[in-house]
Amino acid sequence: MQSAFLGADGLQCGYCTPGQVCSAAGMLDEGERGHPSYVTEDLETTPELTDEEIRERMSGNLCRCGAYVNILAAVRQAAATTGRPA
Amino acid sequence: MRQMEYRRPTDVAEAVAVVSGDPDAAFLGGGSNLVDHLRLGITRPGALVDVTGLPMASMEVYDDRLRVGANVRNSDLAAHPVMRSRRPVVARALLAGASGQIRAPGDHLLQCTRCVYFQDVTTPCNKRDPGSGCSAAERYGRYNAILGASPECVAVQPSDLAVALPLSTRSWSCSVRAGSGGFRSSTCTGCPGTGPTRTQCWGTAS
Repeated sequence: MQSAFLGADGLQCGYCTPGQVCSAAGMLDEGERGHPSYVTEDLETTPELTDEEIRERMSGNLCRCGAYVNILAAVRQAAATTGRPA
Repeated sequence: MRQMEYRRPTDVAEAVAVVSGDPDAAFLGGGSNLVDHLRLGITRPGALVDVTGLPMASMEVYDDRLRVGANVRNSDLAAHPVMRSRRPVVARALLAGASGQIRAPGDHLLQCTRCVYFQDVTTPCNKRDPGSGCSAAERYGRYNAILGASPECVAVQPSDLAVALPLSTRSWSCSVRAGSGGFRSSTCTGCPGTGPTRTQCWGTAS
């Protein structure tokens, strides 16, 4: 996950980055266990980690620099490289 | 700086005994409610009893009921197959109730009202300071009670989970296993009436 943040330039000042990385790791773990989120349409299915799902699941962490687009790309890339559903 | 004792009991009975025996002690769970109140000066407990390490993170299905430990995380409860298939309104409320980074049902259910006057120690509030009056009844209070209020208090329970539970099931309760003596229960809901501090929530053990 740390490498993915570096690779995707998922930060500017870096202040929020430790929290973003921890949340992303926890979020992928929950995704792997099939947890639903607020934007999951059908609670009885195993949700795929679409961009909308990733954004919702990361929504508790703010980035005042506004690096959200690249944070999303980093999480998406980490999900793909760890073989987790993306 | 105000001194505060921090305790981390190793079993539930000890935690209950400490808080039962000390009116100045409060349970500490996730802290998202209590820590805000410490910062705002709304409450000043002499001792914090941290219950996050206690073995209360299990969910058990029995006799068509689901027993949820106080340390079960909201996301785990919302993801439980029983909740997803048979109590979707509760699962939806849990998922809507907080961002994914703030999660513990016990804390969520027992949080205090977010009435701005309750949180502003410079204004009168019967819930915070009994007998001082209700500021919200006459002033800004668009998110306070329409039904069930009283002249003493118009505060509402802010928990999404607390609203969804009675919608979804006829019977639910909060209980504390006090030693081997069974359970002490309360429903956690109710109108403020003339005793707005009745449903006070900073971790009293009865």
